[in-house]
This record gives sequence, C-alpha cells and structure tokens, in this order.
Amino acid sequence: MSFTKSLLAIALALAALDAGAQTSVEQKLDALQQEIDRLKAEVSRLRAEQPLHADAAAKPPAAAGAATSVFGYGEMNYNRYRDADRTSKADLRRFVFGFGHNFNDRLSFSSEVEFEHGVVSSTDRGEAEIEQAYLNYQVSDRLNVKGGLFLIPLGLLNETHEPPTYYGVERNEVETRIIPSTWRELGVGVHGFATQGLKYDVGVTTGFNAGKLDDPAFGIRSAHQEGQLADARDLSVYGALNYTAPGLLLGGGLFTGNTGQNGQANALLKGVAAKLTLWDLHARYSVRGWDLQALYARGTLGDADRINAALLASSATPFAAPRSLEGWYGQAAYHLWRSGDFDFAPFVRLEGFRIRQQEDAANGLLQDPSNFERVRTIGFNFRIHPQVVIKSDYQRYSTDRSKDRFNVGLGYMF
Amino acid sequence: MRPLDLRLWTPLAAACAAAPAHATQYLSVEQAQRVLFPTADAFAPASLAGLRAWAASRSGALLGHVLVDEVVGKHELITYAVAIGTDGAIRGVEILDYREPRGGEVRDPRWRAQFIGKRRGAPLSLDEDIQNISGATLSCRHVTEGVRRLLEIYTRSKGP
Repeated sequence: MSFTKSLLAIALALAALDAGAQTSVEQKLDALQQEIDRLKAEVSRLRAEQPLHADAAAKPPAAAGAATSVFGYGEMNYNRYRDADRTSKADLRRFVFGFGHNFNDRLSFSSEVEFEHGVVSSTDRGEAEIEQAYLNYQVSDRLNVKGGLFLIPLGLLNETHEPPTYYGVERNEVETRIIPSTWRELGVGVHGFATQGLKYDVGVTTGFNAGKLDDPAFGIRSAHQEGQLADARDLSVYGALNYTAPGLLLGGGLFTGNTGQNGQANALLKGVAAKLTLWDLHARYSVRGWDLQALYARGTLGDADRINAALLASSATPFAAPRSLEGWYGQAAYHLWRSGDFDFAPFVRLEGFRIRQQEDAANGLLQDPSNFERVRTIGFNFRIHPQVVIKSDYQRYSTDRSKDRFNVGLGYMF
Repeated sequence: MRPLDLRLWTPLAAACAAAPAHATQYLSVEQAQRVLFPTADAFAPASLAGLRAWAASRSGALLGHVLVDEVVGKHELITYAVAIGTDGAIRGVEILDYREPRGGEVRDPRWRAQFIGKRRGAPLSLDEDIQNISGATLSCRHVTEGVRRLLEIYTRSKGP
C-alpha cells in the first residue's frame, strides 16, 4: 500500500517535475534568445563604433593633443647656361625639415629649418636658417592668432613654396626679385575665414632695413631681415585677402612700413622714413586639365635719394637705390598624361619685371638696364608621386641673353 | 605716449569665451547622420565589410547608408562621413573632425558638393572630376581617395 502510494507520489512528482522542466527549458530558451539578440545588437554597435584600421585604433585620438609631426621638402637643381662664360652649376639648393606640435586642439607650433647649397661653414657658400617658427592659437575658424617668425601672405609662392607645388625648376623671377620669397618677418597676426571661402590675414611685423640694401638687381630683397637681430624701430603692417572656390583662387596682399630704422644700420638714414609699400594681385584657375596662373606685383620705396646719399658715403661700391618695383607673369600648364601617381604637365610662363633705380648721374649712380627684363620659360613638371617631382625647362631672357639657361631639377615634400 | 587701452583686448576675450569646447570637431556622428539623411527617422548600426556604417531608414523603408572613416590630411586624421543612397550614388560628404592648422577649405560645401551623384566607376580623382582647392591640396586629395575607397568597398559588399 505504502509502496503503491510511494510510486504514485513519485510518478506525480516526476510528472510535475517533467512539466516544470518543460516550462523551465522553454523559459530558458526564451531568455537565451533574448540574450543572443541583445549580444547581436551589442556586437554590431561595437563594430560600428570601432575604427576601420587597427593602427587607427591604436592611435590615441588626435583631440587628446600632444601630437608632434616631422616634415620636410627639398630640391636639387642643375643650371646650364647657353653662354659658356657663365658658370653652370649643380646645387643641393634646399634641404628643409620642420617640426609641428599640437599642444592641444587650439594651440600649435610650426617651424621650418632650411639648409641651402649643401655645406654650411665660414668658408662655404651655404646658409642655415630658420624659415618659420611661430605659434598659432585657434579661437575659431573665423579667428586665429599667430605670433613668431612667419611667412608674409603676398603672392602665390611665398606661403606655398614646396617644389612639387609650382612649375619650373627655379622659382619665378617676379616672386624672387619683386616679392622676396621666401619672405618671413617676426610679428603677430590674426587670420581666419571671414566667410565661406574668404580668408583674411592681417598683422604687425618687423620690416625692411634700407641701411642693409646691397643688391639692386633683387629690388628690396637684400634689405629683408629674416628675424636676425632685426632692426625694429620701424615696424610694418600687412594684410591679405584670398578667395577660394573649387578650382579657383583670387587674392591680393599689401605690406607697408618705414625702412629707415632710425639709422640703426646706417647713421645717415637717421630721421629718414624710406617708406616701402609692396602689394600684389594674383589668380589661379584650374579647369579641364589646365592650370592657369597670373600675378601682378608692385612696390615703391620712398626717399631713394636719401638712401643714395647714405650709400655714397658708406659703401665702397655704391649703386642707385631702387625706387619702384613692378613685375607680372602669366603661366599655363596642361596635364597631358596621367596614370596612377604619374602626372606629366608641360607649361609655359611669360614674365616681366622692372626695378627702377634712383639715378644720380653726377655721382655715377645709374640705372642698371638688366633690371628691366622679360623672361620666357618653357618646360615640364613630371610628378612621379603627388609629392615628388622631376622638372626641366629652358629660360630665355630678353635683355640679358647671357642668362639664357637650361634647367633640370628634382624636388620632394612630405 | 598714452598707456595702452586694455579695452582693446575685450573683443578677443569675448571671442575666446564664445569659442566651442572642441576646436576640431565640427559634427558628431549623429549630427552628420541627420545632415546626410534629413528625412530618416532611424539609423541602425549596419554590418558592412567592417566599415563604421549605419543604415538610414524612414518608417522602416531603407534610404541608404552612412559610412564614417578617417584619412590623414597632411599629418593629422580627418574624420569624414559619406552617405550612399540605395541606388549606389553618393548623397553627400561631411567633414566631422578637421585637426590640421591649414587646409580647412575641404569643409567648403561647394567642394564637397562635387561628390554628390558619383557612383562606382567615376574617376573620383583630384583635378579630374574633383576640382582642387588651392592651399588645401593634400587634404582634398586624401579625402577624395578616401571617398573613392569607401564607395568601392560599399558597392562590392552590396553587389553590383
């Protein structure tokens, strides 16, 4: 009896257990299904959030700052003159490296160190120089504040001067003799986008020093101070506006200030203003494989007669000081062949410049006729990578034919 | 000479105070999604060849996808988003983060508009069908290459 009861109880218990087990398994399956769904969603969410590249994932977010970058550019050129009396040369023209550092999202440092002509020593011709070293604080897109040694925003070449970015082995004459590229000053400036595509840059900087003029063939270039114990009694101001749209750049810049520097470099210039004003207008347009570019630059230097007097009294080889500068060029290039990274683009450039000097015939200070020149350049840029270029061209000078030359160059930037 | 009037500093101080907290972020992923598919009511994470991708839909109907990726400008990463419609054509490109001191012109909507309507097979090559912006060449080139790559991966994973 008790055995039967026991069996019944066990059977009932088993049945109950069985029923309980069934619900429990179903519940468990449901729970598992829910869990799987939840995990699936989580995995795809994580996958979506994960950066594409493992190396990008390993890299700390740039917003965290403390990023230092190293970069460089350079060029090696060969100039062979048609006139055998002129010295043909091969030159490691520039070897430049630079450091950039982001202290945080807003504050950054940029610099460029340049070596020219391969070897620098007291008995060699090379130069070592700091081309840029400035700090920039970004308040917003509309407003940045910079301070230090920075490039003056005149012309097309001065701020963007890496060899793969311009046509021709040698930089054009106008942006060498009229706008003294690579032209930098110590100072402060504010810059940003005023509106969409319109960039402004204005500031106060060191200026030129009329007491240091020594080569009128390069206009006022020899009077620039490059942040080297710059005489800074007279400061200069600059302003530039550039408008960009896809394929188009239109802009201009103005730089003005006195250059007498209270006679710090030449006592005879004490009290002489010798005001320099230099401005330019430029345009670049790219359409259907064409790169078209044009620039006009003009400058005046006041008190050229007083500068002449100072030169006569102090220089063993006095010359007529420049009183006005003018230059222009037009350039057309066509991307004839492109394949992968290769880009072969022939170009032509016509340019002209006039450096008018303050004559003083009584003292033998005369205009140098070769400072009125026209140059025709024809050649090609062959980029074997967007940042590496092989260039070659032929240049023909109208006034001084002995300058006619054939050039080959190799340039890079990274 | 008069002492410098310190009130001259007021506009600068005001500008600093008004500046956003992150100088480099222009759009969050969520903001970019809404800009690229303004009519969508849902963005679901999508599994798409390992890309950071979201499917944009409206009332359950798929409108397209938003892909987010990064390329190097000159030295810093540029985070950008590409929207591709169900027809395989680009609906838009947005720059989310731009960290370089120069070259910010890639954010110009007129530059980015050049990508709209492009499909797989378009050259998507700088100076060919995408015009460069002077002063921002490297950023323009690398974003263009990035968009081409995303479009290629996307169309391959979705079939022709």
